[in-house]
Amino acid sequence: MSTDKKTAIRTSHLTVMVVDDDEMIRSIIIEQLRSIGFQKFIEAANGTEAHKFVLDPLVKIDLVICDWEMPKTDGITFLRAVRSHRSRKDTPFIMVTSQQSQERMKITKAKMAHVDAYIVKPFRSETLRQKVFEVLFEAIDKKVVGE
Amino acid sequence: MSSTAVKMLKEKQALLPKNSPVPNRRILVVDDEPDIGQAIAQFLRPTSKDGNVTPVRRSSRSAKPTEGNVSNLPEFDVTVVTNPTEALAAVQAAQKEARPYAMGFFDVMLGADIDGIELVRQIFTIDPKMCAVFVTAYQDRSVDTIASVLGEENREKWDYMNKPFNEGEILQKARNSTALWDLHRLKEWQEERLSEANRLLMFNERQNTVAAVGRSVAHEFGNLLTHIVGNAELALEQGKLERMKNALELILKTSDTATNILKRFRRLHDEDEALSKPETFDISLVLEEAAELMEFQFRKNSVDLTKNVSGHPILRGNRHSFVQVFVNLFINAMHAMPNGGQVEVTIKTDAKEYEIRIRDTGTGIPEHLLEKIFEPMFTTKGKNGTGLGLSICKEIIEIDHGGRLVAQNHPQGGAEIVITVPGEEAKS
Repeated sequence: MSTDKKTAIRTSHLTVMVVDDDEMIRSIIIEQLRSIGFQKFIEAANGTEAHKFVLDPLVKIDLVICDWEMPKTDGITFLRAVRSHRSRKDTPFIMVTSQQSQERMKITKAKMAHVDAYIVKPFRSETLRQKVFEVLFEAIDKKVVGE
Repeated sequence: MSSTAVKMLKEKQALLPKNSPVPNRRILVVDDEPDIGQAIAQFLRPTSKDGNVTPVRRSSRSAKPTEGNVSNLPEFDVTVVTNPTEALAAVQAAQKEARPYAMGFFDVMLGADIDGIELVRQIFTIDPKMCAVFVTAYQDRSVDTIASVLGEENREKWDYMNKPFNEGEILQKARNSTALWDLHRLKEWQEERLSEANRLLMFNERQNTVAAVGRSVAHEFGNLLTHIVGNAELALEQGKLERMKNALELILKTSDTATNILKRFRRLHDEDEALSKPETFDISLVLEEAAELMEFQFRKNSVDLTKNVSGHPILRGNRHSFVQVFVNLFINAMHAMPNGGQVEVTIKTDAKEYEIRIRDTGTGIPEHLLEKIFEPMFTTKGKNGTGLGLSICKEIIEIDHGGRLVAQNHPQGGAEIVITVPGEEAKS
């Protein structure tokens, strides 16, 4: 990943949706992204809450970072809802899961539902930031996320 | 299953007796007249060529048994003694060498301070597995007399025959008695294997419960480690004292939570505790422990747990198995409500019995399956279920705690498991 490209993303303009039922994890993710320039965030505690934002045409969502296992609507159900939404189907989506071996099967399932990247808990901030840039560059290349 | 669990299982399987018991052909002959003792031995010893069954041709049609049949019969190992002291010494020595006698022929009138019947009574206290055949020339002791001396508990272990005897009678008594000894050992061996197999089954099922809870513990640890790593990194990056203090406090708090989860999980996993002796415990505390183990999974699956406990349901039994019962029933309830719902536990106590109701708000149990769900290997979870959970819960409640466990559908919907166990007063 080149520095040119990194600076080419105006992180302050992008809105990141963070979905996790664990409030502490949401705030850690937000703080980790804030330190690299992100300023706009939407928080949701589960897929049901998150889905309401997805359905609201006035809400801008440039990236979703979502936990897998949540009460009410879980991550994979929410991912499918996003992918089947007419205007949001290409939104970059990062799935956060825990416990690698057990989750391997789930990751395969997530790939089938077109997840852009996944992060395994516990994760280092560098991993999160790297994945965020990766999916955003890909989205810019595909002109999903406008500059 | 974890590698430790597999190792434990292998160790346990190694304990299973693999070989069936070896037939016992040791015979003790006690007669104060050496000639008679030797005569009996002669009939039984295979070395005496003419000592084999000499078939008495009762009619011209009865065929002579082939030599093959006779030689296939087991060889007896015979010890002949002439008095009670020698007899007791022989039995003791045989016990010590772990080469017990299967049976003995006992003369009744031994010309010593104790007779054959008293001798056998004493032998039964040294080797309760041995069988005895009394050989007497006198009709002075009826079978009822012998029965009263030896007692009801020994009634299957002795037989009776009169002098003069013939070779065929001696051989047949010896064969019958040794066969009886072998049969009893085989039965003991089978019972031992069966109870060992049952222990293994219970062990496996406990491992399944542990695995189900373990998956959620691992998941929860992923979250807690994210708290720890995230806060540490952010504090380090920002380099501000206040943020660092705040991070350290959060990290310590999270570590406490993790320690508690680990402690509860270890307790569930503890094999020694699972096999521990009965103890007195409060069912409501056991419920609390199971609820804490399930807290994370319930939260993730939108399951709300409510508990209504009246009085102090103090019970004597295996606390650990009771936790297992609750965890199993909670997992079932959770699986019955894929979109979340309510689990309500009500415990009512009175002097005579405790009633525990665990109700969910799922779709309930189809009427035709209400009985079937307790059958071992019955599962609605496909390959995700072992089909043992409920049957083992029932076993723990009914066999280990003398209670009842039934399933029913609640009139307002959902399935309900009703457990009744005798209260402390009812037991005393």
